[in-house]
Amino acid sequence: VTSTASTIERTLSSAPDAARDLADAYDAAQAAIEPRLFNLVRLRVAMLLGCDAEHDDAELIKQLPQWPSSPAFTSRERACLAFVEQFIIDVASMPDHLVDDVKRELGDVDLVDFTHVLLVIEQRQRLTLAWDRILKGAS
Amino acid sequence: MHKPLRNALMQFAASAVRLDSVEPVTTELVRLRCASYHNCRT
Repeated sequence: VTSTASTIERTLSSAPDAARDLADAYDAAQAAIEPRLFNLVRLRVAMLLGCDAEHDDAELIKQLPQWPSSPAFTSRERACLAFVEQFIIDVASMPDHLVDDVKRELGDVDLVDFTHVLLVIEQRQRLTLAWDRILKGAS
Repeated sequence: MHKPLRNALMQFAASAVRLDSVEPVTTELVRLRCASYHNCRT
């Protein structure tokens, strides 16, 4: 399995500005929330999208499908993971109660940051999937 | 709000739009089709 970073580096080699800006956005996203939450979101998005390149933490991957009931996850992490799942599956149908749950756990400002973090993670993984699976051999 | 993240995200969006390997009409068709699919009216 090729890593997300190497796929992006290879594919965007002819567009260095976009590659640099995506890397900067990813670094900023990592700095915006605590590492464990970032990792949970990154891995849950990878599981939902089928982005094998991100599957680098076997223990968390094993635990993640049980997030709604597992004591391994805090109420804050559960609220965020529910939001993540709806965001990935159909963001336009995001119900208010999922937004309110994250807002209650993180606060108004961090809800905005969390959404931006999720957006960066999703874009990066979707780009990797598109380049690895759809455009394989075409570039 | 985490300003570096917001700025970095906007910077990436801007540099993606500046890529010119796909001609403008196709780019616009894709943009509109995605907006329609995701019910994005902005």
